[in-house]
Amino acid sequence: MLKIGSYEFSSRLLLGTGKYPNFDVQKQSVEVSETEILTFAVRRMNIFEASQPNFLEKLDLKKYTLLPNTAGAKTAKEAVRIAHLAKASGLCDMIKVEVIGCQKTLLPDPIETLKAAEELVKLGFTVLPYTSDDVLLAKRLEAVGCHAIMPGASPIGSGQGIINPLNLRFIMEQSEVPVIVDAGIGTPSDAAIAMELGADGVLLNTAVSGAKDPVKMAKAMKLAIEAGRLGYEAGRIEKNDYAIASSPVEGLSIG
Amino acid sequence: MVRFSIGPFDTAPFNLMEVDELELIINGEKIRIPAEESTVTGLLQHFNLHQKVVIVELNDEILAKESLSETLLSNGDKVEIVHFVGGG
Repeated sequence: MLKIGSYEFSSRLLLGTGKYPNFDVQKQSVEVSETEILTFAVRRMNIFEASQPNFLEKLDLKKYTLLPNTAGAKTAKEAVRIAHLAKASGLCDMIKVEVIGCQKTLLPDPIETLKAAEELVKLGFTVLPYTSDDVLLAKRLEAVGCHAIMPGASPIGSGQGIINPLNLRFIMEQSEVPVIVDAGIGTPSDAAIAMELGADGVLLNTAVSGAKDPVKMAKAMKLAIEAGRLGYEAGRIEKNDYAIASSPVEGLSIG
Repeated sequence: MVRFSIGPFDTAPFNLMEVDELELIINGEKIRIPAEESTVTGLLQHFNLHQKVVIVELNDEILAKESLSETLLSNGDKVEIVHFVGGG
């Protein structure tokens, strides 16, 4: 069970909803992934295109917890406003704090992220900040009451996978709240490694929506996250420099 | 006979004449709507958005869903209508 604030989930995959080729593929991907948490962004509506369908309308909202993000915010103040807007939908009280500090790398602004997270915790939101893999910043985010910490594996959408497993492991080891590896996942093995390191969950979007076959990749990610988690729980063997035979060395019928 | 309080002349015409349109700033654009749609719910119905999941901010204040049908709009109001879109 993944417990975030007062919520409980059996799936450890959090799925983004951006950039799918079409709603049908997206709906199938969501179903196959067996995710229970879907992220969304908050944007101005084109009021002259009311007939345009919205992905939310295609979902059974009883089955999913919505995790809106504050993407687009450059300051804590903007992030808090977007969080309020999202909550006013009456559909959710979870918020992914995302305050981007650099448009080229899409890396988060640590100071503004911390400020926004602290304020939103005080306001009663369930707060999941997207953060860099800075170990001390993760600790500070936890100290202000965040309900989960979401360090990036590598830059958003880059598909580079886990570039600093040591920092991620330090964050996981010290954290009393769930750690969800968010952003940069490219392949199922990336997701499995995140889980083997001890992550409580993985949040990904482009790795599925941008795959040649998103539905198949959604299934691959689900299985990889399950496999990685089982592997972590089972406990891996020690690494050794030299071979250790698996077959008995006694009783050989040779010589 | 209705008497209006005396205010600055440049705002007076809105009070004195019967206007059949409201000019609002919706999502940053000047937009006119029929004056009879003067509640926020009326505005959403006008654009056929009342069945959609939308969040409305009026003059920088987020409106609770329950208050949409009672909230009146006036000329020059700044309205933001936002919704959820795909994102990671």
